[in-house]
Amino acid sequence: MARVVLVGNLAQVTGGVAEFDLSVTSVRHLFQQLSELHPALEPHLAEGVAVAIDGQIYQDVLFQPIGPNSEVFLLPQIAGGSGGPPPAYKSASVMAVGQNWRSAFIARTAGRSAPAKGQ
Amino acid sequence: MAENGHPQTYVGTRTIRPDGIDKVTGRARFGADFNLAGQLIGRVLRSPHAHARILSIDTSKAEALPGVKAVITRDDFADQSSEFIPAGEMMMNYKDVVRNVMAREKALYEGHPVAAVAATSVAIARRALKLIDVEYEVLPHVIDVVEAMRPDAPLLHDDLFTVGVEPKPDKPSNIAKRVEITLGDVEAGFKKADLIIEREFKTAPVHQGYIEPHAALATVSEDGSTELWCTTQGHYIVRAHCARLLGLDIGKVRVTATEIGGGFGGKTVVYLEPLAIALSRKAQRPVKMVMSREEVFKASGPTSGATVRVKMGATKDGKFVAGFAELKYQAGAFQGSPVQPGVMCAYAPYDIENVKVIGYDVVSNRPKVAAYRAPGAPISEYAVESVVDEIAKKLDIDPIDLRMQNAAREGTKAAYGPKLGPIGMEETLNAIKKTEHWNTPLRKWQGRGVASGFWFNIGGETSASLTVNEDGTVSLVAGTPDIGGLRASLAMVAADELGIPYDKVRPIIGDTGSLGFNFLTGGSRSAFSGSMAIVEAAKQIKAELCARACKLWDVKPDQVEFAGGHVRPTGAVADKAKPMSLADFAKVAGKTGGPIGGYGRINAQGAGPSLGTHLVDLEVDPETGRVTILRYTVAQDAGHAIHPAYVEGQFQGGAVQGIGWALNEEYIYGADGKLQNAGFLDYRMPVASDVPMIDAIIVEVANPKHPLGVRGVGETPIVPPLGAIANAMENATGIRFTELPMSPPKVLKALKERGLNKV
Repeated sequence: MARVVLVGNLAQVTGGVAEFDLSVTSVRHLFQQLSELHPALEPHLAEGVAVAIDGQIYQDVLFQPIGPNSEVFLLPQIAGGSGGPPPAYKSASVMAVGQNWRSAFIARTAGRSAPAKGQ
Repeated sequence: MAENGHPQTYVGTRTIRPDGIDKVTGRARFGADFNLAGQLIGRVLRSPHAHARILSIDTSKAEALPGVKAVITRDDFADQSSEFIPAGEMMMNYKDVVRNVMAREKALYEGHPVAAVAATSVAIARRALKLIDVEYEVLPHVIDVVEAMRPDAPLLHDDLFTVGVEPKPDKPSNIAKRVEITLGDVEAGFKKADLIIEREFKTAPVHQGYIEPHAALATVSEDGSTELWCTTQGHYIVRAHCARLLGLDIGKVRVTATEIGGGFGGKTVVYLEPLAIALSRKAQRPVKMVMSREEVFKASGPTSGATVRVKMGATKDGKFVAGFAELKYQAGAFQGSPVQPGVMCAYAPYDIENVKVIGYDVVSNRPKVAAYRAPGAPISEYAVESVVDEIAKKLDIDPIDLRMQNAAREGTKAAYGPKLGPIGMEETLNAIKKTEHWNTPLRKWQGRGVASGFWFNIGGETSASLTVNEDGTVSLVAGTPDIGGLRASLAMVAADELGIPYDKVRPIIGDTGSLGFNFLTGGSRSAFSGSMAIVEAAKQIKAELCARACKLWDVKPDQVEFAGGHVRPTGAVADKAKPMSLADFAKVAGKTGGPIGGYGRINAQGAGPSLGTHLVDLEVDPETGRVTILRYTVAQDAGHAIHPAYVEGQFQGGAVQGIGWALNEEYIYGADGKLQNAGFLDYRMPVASDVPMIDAIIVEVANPKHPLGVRGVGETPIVPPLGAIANAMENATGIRFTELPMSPPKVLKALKERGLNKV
């Protein structure tokens, strides 16, 4: 079982539960299991978190393998030193398994109409 | 041959930069150097108020002025929903971005854009701005971060509720979020301490100070196809933001990054670009916009000012047993300060069992902050490094030895969670201690300071291509703007990988139509990630050449190899054919399958943190409070320096920017909330005559996750200077300065208060 630890504000979303023992084989698999256990985590995973696996930090890599005895930390994304976890996305369903900013942009731009009046 | 099996002839040497001649002759074209036939000049009307509701905007008189071809306001931008995305080195929310490029309900800082015009001349554009009638309701403003956190502070956004606190607040405030990291039990740690020191520090907001102002040239055709030239750290990001803000298909927008006169994180966001496109779309003419220096200061992001409280505990033999910090960072008018990385980096250079760091992201009536080299880290690490030095003094331990005793090493559990891989903290401390500089005697009013610093570094999405030309030369296209030597570095890697002379590789930065997506130049990622992509592209070329050789020579794949720039038959068929070079294959490319090239498309992972230690000598003039930097040495882990001169340049540049941050730079506001020093005469940045030659020591602890061992180097060097200089000031004067900048008036005041201002 991989030991999974939520760092920082993420544990607030799970009611204070910060550590999990999970049988997962990849980041994608990890995100799926965590989202099933704590649906409120889903938008936060979708908007982007960094995943440290056995000391190495990964970002936006759904297929990265996780070993059976790996130590995994979910951190605020370090997008070049990003500002950390923001408030929740509203449409997490389209990004259920860890969406990066680029695909988020596309999902929201598709079908946009011409500029409307401000205000 | 390097240990990792990669041939290396150029990597590690000081080649001539391919962009050098154009830059020294003036041929290089920066943002404001681009022009198109029939272009209009765009100008921005900015709020004169720090905080005001915009009741109405009447542009009719401006539109009627002959020569005015377009006027835009908030009505020309669709509102955006609240969605966060990483923006270079920060997080941003499109709801805020659309309001930052053009004010909507309120003007939130002096200089906030309210309208823009495009006209046939600068004079007409200026006249048109004066004809725009904006009716404001002036509101109370707040500038200081601590004042902005008070419950009765003027509220910038009535829909901003603090995230990260329980129970969730039912009233809005200027505190956008609270973040926290915890390791171990900090209270239990303090109980083990023989010495506890607690201090509060203040730092001023400082501008990135790039010498080239923001500039953009846009042209939109009748079918909506858009071309944009701009000075940016990430033209793919500019494309995405502009498409989003203006409702365009990404594929219809082509962005070219011009040569860039510095960015340091400040050119990772958009200001003029969407305005120029909107004006061009309306006027059906090209539109050029260039900021003045005053506009750069008032309306483009500085980095946060902050208030930081640090409490550290140590045993009497010098072991750090607990570290606490509370960080309050200004975000500017919209949320998104770099407080999260500030929290994560505060204690990162050290191995401490018990750490708790809390951070607050706070809005106030200042321009929205943008990334600045290692965003957030210099502020928190300055405070910690100051207290570390005080602990060394109180315990009578050499400050380098104390840092060495507590240094983070491979396997150290970082306060932000994971265990660290190989890092060079001890090596940089050792390197500094061995310098002649460390042992040079000092005179009265002179002081020496040391401090260390940490930054994560990142990788990210990167595309780069190598194309073999008909004569065997190679065209290299990268998609991240070259700020610190990217073209030279990537050309060296390509030359080594393909076994050809360095001057046979021509590197360029392609536009957004040339390559797949590239994240921007930031996070110390471009050489790290770009070189990985080039290694991948070269691998494809080598595989293709070997495959063609097999067909030409009628041999099996395991009977050829690529070595020394040639494909050779090996083993039993070694004498069957003459080895073929890249140029040989280029001659027969058409007959053997067509053009030859490789395309690296990666999401680079494995960026290793870079640690640095700085040593500074300075002298204080007790009569004026002026501080002179006498000597400065940087030691930093580069993993493996591709181009040592560029790496040294990054070390030196970071140190000089840190010197400015520590000693002189600050945004000064009047009681009216207006910036008082929006120009280089009053905003005092170091110039060449202010600093000595910065000695640079490249430490190389190879990054095992990079094919060449490379680590990013661009950001770490701005982290240690603040602490190193504050520590040197304490040694020179006996005064612990806890507020930056340590400018002459403040230093003189402190000396006078203690009766020390006499020679």
